[in-house]
Amino acid sequence: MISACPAGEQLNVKLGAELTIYQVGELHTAAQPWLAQPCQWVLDLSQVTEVDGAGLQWLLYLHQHLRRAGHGLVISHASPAVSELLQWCPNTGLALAA
Amino acid sequence: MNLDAALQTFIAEARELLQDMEQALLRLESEPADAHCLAAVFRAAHTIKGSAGLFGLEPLVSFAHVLEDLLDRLRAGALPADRERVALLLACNDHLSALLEQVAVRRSAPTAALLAAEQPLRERLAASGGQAQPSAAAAPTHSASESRRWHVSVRFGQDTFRHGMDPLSFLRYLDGLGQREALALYDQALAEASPFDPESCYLGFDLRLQAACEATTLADAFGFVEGECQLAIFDLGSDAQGYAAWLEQLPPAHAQWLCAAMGEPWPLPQAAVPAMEPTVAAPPTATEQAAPARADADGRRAWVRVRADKLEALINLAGELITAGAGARLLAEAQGHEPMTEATVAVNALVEQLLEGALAMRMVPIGETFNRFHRTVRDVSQALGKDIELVVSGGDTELDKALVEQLGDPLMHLLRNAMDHGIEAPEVRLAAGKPARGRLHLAACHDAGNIVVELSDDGAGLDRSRILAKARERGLLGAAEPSDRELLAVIFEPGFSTAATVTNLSGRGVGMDVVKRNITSLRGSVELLSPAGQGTTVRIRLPLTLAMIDGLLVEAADSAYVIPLSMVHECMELAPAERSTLRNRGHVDLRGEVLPLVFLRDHFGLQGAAPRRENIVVIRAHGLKAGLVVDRLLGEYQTVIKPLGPLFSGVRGVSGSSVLGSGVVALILDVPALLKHLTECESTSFIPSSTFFQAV
Repeated sequence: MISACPAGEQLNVKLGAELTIYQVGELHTAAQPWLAQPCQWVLDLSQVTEVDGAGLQWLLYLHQHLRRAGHGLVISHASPAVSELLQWCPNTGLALAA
Repeated sequence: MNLDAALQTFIAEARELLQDMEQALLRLESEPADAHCLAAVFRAAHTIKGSAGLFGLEPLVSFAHVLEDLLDRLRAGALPADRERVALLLACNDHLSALLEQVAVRRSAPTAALLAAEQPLRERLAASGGQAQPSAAAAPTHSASESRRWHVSVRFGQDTFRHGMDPLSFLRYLDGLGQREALALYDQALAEASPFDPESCYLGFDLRLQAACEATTLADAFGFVEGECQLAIFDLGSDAQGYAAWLEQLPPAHAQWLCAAMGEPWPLPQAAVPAMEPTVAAPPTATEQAAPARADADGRRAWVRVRADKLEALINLAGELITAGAGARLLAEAQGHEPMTEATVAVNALVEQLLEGALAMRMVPIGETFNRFHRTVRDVSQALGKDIELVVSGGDTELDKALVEQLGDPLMHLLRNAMDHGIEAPEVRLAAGKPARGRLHLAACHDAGNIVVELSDDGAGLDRSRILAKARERGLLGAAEPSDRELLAVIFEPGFSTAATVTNLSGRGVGMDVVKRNITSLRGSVELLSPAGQGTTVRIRLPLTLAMIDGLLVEAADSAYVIPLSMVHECMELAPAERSTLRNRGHVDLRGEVLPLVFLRDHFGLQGAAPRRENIVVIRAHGLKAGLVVDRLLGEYQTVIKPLGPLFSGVRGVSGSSVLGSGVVALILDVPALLKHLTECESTSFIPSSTFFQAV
């Protein structure tokens, strides 16, 4: 569902198939150890086939949480579902790495 | 999920909601400032609208919607809930019920009559201050095709996700209505959430939309989350001031953020405008307050709806289990196997608890039935031009659901009777030195394994001379002066009425006999009490349940009989030496009191010689006493009643049967019928009872 591997100063995180209300609870729990020690996140969402409001909200939360600690969140890869959402809801602060 | 089953659930719930709504409205009538009642009414209308929408029951949704508009204004305190409005709301409540039956139950379109009834209601709602026809009211300035600029601001409630809703789907829907100009996803609450719960919703959005639609279309999109979100919709073309005023009252940081996202300067260039209500807005505190208030105001605990027949099957099974358990115990006892006997005793105790529990599930408080009558009393007293209040007590007394259902009609009849004949017109009451407002008291309580329901009025009471005259005229009573009991019992005779005029409520003389028949068929009894000048009381006695009976098991000529324990007064021995004397005389001297005797052997024409010793069971019902002579007393016995088949429907004196543990069938004696027989034969002649019963 979620896998992370530290690479230097940053953390490469990859999410599984879906990012919806059915997964956010579990994802949030699983992400706690890493969130406790914030650093720069690079998020790979290439495998995410579905995102809903709860999923988007969780991404926004990650973003805010990391930024408060002086770090950031970049989305390195986005599946079609994710890119479409980001285009559709602009100005969220969530950015796709060029 | 099976949609049809879901619809049935909806119908059942909607009926309950409408009933709750009616109750709340009636309370509101006497206490117009009661915010809880108003909230309850609003919630009921709102829930019905929401659920009806799920099933596509458009006529219900549309009517509930206009109703809700008025309720919303009442709730916000913009309009007072005066008598007239409450009366209108009651009429709307009735109409919703009618719509529900037609649209949901019969699954057909509203009839012409229903539609005809609806139109004036809608007009009255509009005149009363509801925004009944917003489309009609707003339309003149905008043609349907004209595109308007909208600002839609929504902050979702925390439970939005848990209720299966997704803010993004609302956004997607609105996007589909027109051209989006700007969108600001609101994530301020997300930043403030601590700790963050990923399954709670902290989102909201502000949408600038160019769309050719009405405010209601936009507001309706949020129908599913109404009441749990904060919603504000502005037509920037016609209500720019409203928008500005709304911005004004937002926290400055928030307003600034919003203006930046919309690409507008902050503060707005216009001068300060008077504060105005947004077109559609939930109260600002809705999200914080709605959830807890809803939970306790509804009084809704965790319920499971179970089909009545499933419960019936469970009770039947538990009953069979008791019988089977008793059989096992008898067997163990017969074998003299100690440990086995002990084990069966333990099993039986548990089985009895099981049955008790199953029966308790069928018990419902009678209060729901009582509460229905508030409406009847209100309407009928208005129709009669009388001022009558209904006081209810003991509403939490529980009794069998089947009984409650069958008690409704007789009670309704008695109630109408009391209002029509019992309570006098206000002038008459004042002249008699009584308060103008009449009082009906409906009470329920438990009494020795029975439930007693009493309806008393403080009217003039029964006119004995008129009853006597009418009864003689119809040949119901002889020339001899009847006792008070006999006289009042005449009222329950078919077709008896002393009413001078026949009203459309009562007075046709149809009814009291039906009431009595209904109650008797429930193994209950009904009596009238009317101390002169002190009003009338109708007292109904009913068993707690129809399914079980606590009885005394007796034996006569090797057959077993069950006598309902509640009717057993005492037991005594019949001295063998006096047997034949008593049998001829037909009564025994019980501590100086004459006690008529019924020899069960004779009564049922049983064969075989009487044993050396016999017993008298003193039975009592309806204030009458008699001694029942049986061979042996076998002890107390709790049993599930099995109704007699239609073949035995003509048999008098037996009300049912029961299978004993040994497999033997025991007949349950119908004591009231037995006693009635006895009194009937006594008042006609003095034939010794033995002879009479042989003749029967």
